Parts: sequence; C-alpha cells; structure tokens
Amino acid sequence: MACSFPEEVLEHVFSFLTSQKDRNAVSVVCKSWYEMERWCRKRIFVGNCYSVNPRIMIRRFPEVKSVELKGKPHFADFNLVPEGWGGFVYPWIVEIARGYPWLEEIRLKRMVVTDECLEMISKSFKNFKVLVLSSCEGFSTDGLAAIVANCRNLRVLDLRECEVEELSGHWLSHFPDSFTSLESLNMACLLSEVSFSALERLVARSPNLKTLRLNRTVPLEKLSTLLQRAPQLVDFGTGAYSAEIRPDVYSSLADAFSGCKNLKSLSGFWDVTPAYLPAICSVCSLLTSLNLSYATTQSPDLTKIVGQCYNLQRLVVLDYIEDTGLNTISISCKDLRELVVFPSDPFVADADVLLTEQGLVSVSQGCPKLQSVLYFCRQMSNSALISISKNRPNLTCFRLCIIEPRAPDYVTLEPLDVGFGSVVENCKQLTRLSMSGLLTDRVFEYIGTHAKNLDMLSIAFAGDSDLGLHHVLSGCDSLRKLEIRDCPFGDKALLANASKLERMRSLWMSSCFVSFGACKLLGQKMPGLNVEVIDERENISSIPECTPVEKVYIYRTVSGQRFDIPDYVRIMGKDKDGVYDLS
Amino acid sequence: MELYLGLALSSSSSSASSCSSQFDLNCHESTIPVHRSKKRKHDDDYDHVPQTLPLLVWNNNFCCNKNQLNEEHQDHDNDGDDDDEVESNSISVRHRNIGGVIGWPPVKLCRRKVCHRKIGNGGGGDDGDGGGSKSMYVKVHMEGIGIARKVDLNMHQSYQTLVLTLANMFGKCYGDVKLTYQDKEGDWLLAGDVPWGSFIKTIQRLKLLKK
Repeated sequence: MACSFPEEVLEHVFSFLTSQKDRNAVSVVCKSWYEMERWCRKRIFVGNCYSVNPRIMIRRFPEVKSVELKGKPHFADFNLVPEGWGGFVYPWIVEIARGYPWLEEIRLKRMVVTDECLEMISKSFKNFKVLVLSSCEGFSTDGLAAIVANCRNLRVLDLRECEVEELSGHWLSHFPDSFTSLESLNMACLLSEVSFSALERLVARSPNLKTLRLNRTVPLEKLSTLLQRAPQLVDFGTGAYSAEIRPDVYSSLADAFSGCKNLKSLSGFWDVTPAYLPAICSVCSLLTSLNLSYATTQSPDLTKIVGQCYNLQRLVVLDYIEDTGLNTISISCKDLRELVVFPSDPFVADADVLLTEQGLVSVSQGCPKLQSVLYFCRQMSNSALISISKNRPNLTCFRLCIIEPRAPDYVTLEPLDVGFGSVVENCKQLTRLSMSGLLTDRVFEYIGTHAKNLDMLSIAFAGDSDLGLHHVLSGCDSLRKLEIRDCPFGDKALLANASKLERMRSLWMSSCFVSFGACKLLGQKMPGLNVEVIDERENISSIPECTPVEKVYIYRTVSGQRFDIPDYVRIMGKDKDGVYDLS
Repeated sequence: MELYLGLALSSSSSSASSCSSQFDLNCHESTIPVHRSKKRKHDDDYDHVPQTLPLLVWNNNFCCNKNQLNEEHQDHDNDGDDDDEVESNSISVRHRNIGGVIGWPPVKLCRRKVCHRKIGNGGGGDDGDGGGSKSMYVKVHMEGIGIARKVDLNMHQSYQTLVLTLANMFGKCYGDVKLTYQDKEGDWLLAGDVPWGSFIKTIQRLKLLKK
C-alpha cells in the first residue's frame, strides 16, 4: 500500500497533534503511521503506573521529552489505601534515566518518591526542566536540595500537597548563584522556614519567574519585598496572611500588589487577619483564579473581596462564604467557570455556617459559564438539584458532598435519586460526577441511561443491590474510572460486566460485598486485568471464598504481575509469575 | 458445574440497547468450574426474563445479614464449618473506627488541618471559659513530638470528637492514631473502653500514639 505523503510531511502534520488521544488514534491507522508517530511522540501520560512497564514505553517511544505518571488510586487521598500499597516511582526513574537521557519534564501524582529518586533525576537528565509532584510522599528536603543544586536548567519546581520529611529549610539555599532560569516555584505544602534572604536573592535573579507560591512561614511583612522584586508574577501564593495591624505594613503591601500588573492568580492566605485583605483590592479585577480555602475569615470580609473579582474564573473557598457570599458572587463574577467550596469543620454533623444548597443554586443561576463544581454542604434537596441542572446544562464536572452519609432530601425526606438523575439527564457533557446523600438503585438506572459521556464516577454509601452497579457498568459507555465505597454491591454485577473492566482504566471497591471467590474468578478469567485484593486481616488464605474482601482494586494492564506488593495485597487468579492460578 | 449468570433487566429501563441482553460469563473460551450455591432457586427463573429485579437484595449493614448468608452457603463445597459467622463479625469490627468513618467526608489531610481553627472565640482558646461553662483542660502528648498541648475535655461528649480534635491538633489523620490516657491510679489505658462519664472522672492526662 503506497503512502501518498512523504514522511516529512506526515511528521509535520503529526507535530500539531498534542493530545495523547489524538496521537493514539493516529498510531492505529496503519503500520507506517504507527512507526512515524512513535518516533515523534514527545509527551507520554500513563494514568496508572502499573498498567504498563517502563521498558515497553521506552521501546515504543524513543524520543520522549516529558513523562507524566499517576500511582495510587484517588481514594488514597482519603486514607483508604493502606501505607506501603505501592506507586513506587523508583523502577520508572531507573529505566527512564537509561532510556531518555534528554528527558526534560517529569510529572508525578500520588506516587512514592524517595530522595534516591530525586537524586537520580537530578544527575541523569542534563536538560531537566520541569518537576511537578502532586500528592506525593516519601522524600525529604534533602532530595529537594539535590534537585535544586544539580538541575542547572530547572524551570519548574512544583510541589502540590506533598508530604515531605522536613529536615531543614536549607534546601532552598542550594540554588546556585548562577542559576537564573526559574519560572515556577511552588513550596506551599512545606512547613519549615527557608532562609528569606536566599529566597529574596533567588527571586531577584529570576527574570522569568511567573509563579511563586510561598509556604506558611513567610511572614506577611516580607511579602512586599518579594513582590517588588517580581512585579511580573502571574501566579502568587502568600504565606501566613496575618500580622499586627500597622499602617506602614499595610500600605507597602497594597503598593506592592498594585505594582503587579500581570497577576492572575492568588492563593495562600493562611490565618488571615481580615484587615489586610483589602490590600489585594488593586488586583482583584485582574484575577482569574482565587484560592481562599485556607482563609478562616467570615463571610462579609470574604465577600467584599471576592465581589470585586469581576473576571474571576476559578474560586476556591471555605463554607465561611455562606449563601449570602455565593449570592454576591452570582451577581459579580459572571465569568466564573469553576467553584470549589470546602467545609471548615467537616467532622461536625451540625452546620455552624449558613451555607446550604441555596448558595449553589444562586451560583448556577447567575454564572452562565459555570462548568465545574465541588461543593460540600449539609443539606440538599431534589428540587435544588433539578434547578441546578436546568440552570447549568453545560456542567462538565459535578461533585457534591453532603457531609452526613445517606442524608435524604431535607424537605421531602426522599432519596436524592431524582435530583441526581436530573443532573445526568440535563448535563449531557458531564464527564465527572461524585454523589452523596440517600441514593437507591434508581439513581444508577438514571446514570446508566443518560450519562453517556461520564468518564469518572465516585459513589459512597449508596444503592440497594447489585443492580445499581450493573446499571453503571453496562450503561456508561465512556466510563473509565469508577470508585465505590460502602455500597451493597457484590459479585453478580461485577462478574456479569467483566469485559467492561477491560475498557476502563480502573475500578475501586471498598467495604462492599465482593467476595474472594469472585475476585479469584475474575483474575483467572481476565488476563488483561490485575485484580488486587487489599485486605489487612490476618490468615487471609484460610478465609472462606464467599467472604467479602475489604478492598478490591481492578485495573487493566499489559505489564502483568506487580513485583512490589506488600503482604496485604494479593493479585488474584495469577501466581507470582503472572501465570493463571487454577487452584 | 458451570456458573451461568444471566442478567436481564426490566423493560422499564431506557432505550439503552444493552438492557435486554443476557450476560453469560461462559461466553469466554475456557470454562472453569465454580461452585454453585444450591440455595439460589432464582437461577432457573432467568430464562423467563423477569420483569422485576433485584438479583440479590442486601441490607446496607452486612453484619445483619450474616445469618442469612450462613444459611445460603451451608452447602458450599469447600467450607462446611461454622467459621462464616466469625469472619463476618471480624469485618464489622475491622470497619468500626473510634474516629468515625474512615476517609469521610472526603477531605484531604492538608485541608483537615484547617479545621477546628474556629474564629470568633479568640485565637488562643487556652484561657477563659467557652460559653460560661467550666473548662477541664488536660495535657496531651503526641508520640514523637516534644511539645505538649492542652485540650478542654468539657468541649467534648464523645471519644469520637476528642480523637478528631487531637488528631487535627497534631496534624495527624485520626485513622493513624490511637488514644491512651493515664487514670487516677497512674495506669495507662486505651481510651474508648469505658463510658465517657467514667472516663472524664478518672482521666489525668492523654497521650496520642501512632498506630
């Protein structure tokens, strides 16, 4: 079969394809396209580090410059995955160091990264530029020091919500004096103090610095110094935003902020002293993103500020904003795309703040571009959910957490099936959904029927029977990630929809009714899946097959058996060489 | 014996084409014998495409069903003993957590640390009364941390809220800690065994240990 385009032309065309999905599609057109595409792919995203072996990846894509990996399942964020489960990036770093000496970017999420890994990264890649670690753990400030000292071309060091062993704040001082390429530094999750003078000098010699997110230890009084050194900042995160109220401190801070003409994003704001909030007023109209979720300030102070952010697209805030604050936002922030409201006191059943479903309804009414919602509240009604869905059929991500498990519609005391059903029916582009409250199998019927674009679904304390799970697995054509906890779903739906699991990235089920026997059967019958039973009870091997497992994590894989599992994880249906276990 | 799993949905479900199809696990090449529960009388009904569900109705609380489950599996070939009951019990014990439900609400650790920083009552909290009632401050140590804190036991009526508060105080997740206390006799005991009222009367100091 003759190919009418010369290779160079095709390669040039392919270079415009950046999405992995498009590139994957291109690579299956024909053999020659497969070959061409694999030689020019520069970025790789692996959504589950156990789904593929790094050697396979390197063999297929020899010219990669950027690797992104994800490790632990999402529910690890909420302590549902025991310590030591996995997600160790070390074997990947070893292979990548060998296979991609010119690698420039590494992005990791929910992985265990040791100091040894960081040292290896810092020494193996001569042109290393970008390190982003999200929700990672296992390393200390010594590892950071190695990166900072050795990566001469580093542009981005972004630590998002990592758990770091903090031996000292000295790591920052390891940036060489000759180092001037820094574009982005996010150290917000670190707890220890860094040398302010080292920080100031670093900022002063980084003309391309666009993102600077400080940690809590940088005092408010020093912020103006830094802002004056970096008026070109686009994304700034303060430290603890509290100090004695002093007019000179206030005015230098306000002046410093007003000098930042490119500022688009603000965050930080721990322990806010409300009197200092108006210092940011001069930049409010510039902001597209504002994160006040650590600001334990009352509604009026918050609202005064947020109400001035006319161009705001993304807002993250605590429920201190209350319904009144959200109402103001619905009037003032017409460009809002994403709203996140976290609970100030998640472990208390009764509300201490006046945040109800009304706040969300107002925003859905007033903000025509609203697409993404994460909302924690203590009461919800079907009618509110129906309103929200009718107001905002353009929603793509809807995550609602009603604090009390199985809470019904607070008005009618009925399940919230109809409300969520309305969401999936009206919001046809919905790709992510998290539900809570009292829900029966009915809601899953609605989801299976309507949620054809749903990519990720999170379920907790919901449903009545296997039928619920069956509706989801058989009806949601685009579903790739499903995570379930404390639902009465058992073997039948899982086994009946076994082939669906191969078309998904992963399925997590914990505190459900899936039995050992079913897991074993699934593992035996489906060679393309790893069926991991995660169970910390003793004497697991003598537990009867009908007993439900504590947790099961099922994911498709071409890399076969894992060799790094702790003793409470069993990969069912396969022996240690990855061969079927028929016993 | 082979497991035939035919799954038919009621016609009240949507237009989705998969609704009325049968799902047969045996359409995979190999058939691996699986023990079939002799108690499942409903299996024979699948050929008639029943209008109504459910396949199996479970109680939300698995423990309530453990007796029902024992009956259904009595004829299971590979276990004829009565250990089912013991195993079912162990599941419930395992899931019970003095801090409440693990991982709920779904809030990350870094965010949990923000909580309990109540405003309006002054930042300190160590001095003065809360709302006019008497305070009962006891010292709390966290294993591995040199500096002790104090907690007002009168602000709590249950072990649950106390452990949560203490865990947050030290920036730990409540699933990772266990609470011990020293009583009037000087003995160190695990908190949670005695009723709250008795606990309050005898407690001298607290210590949080890592699990």
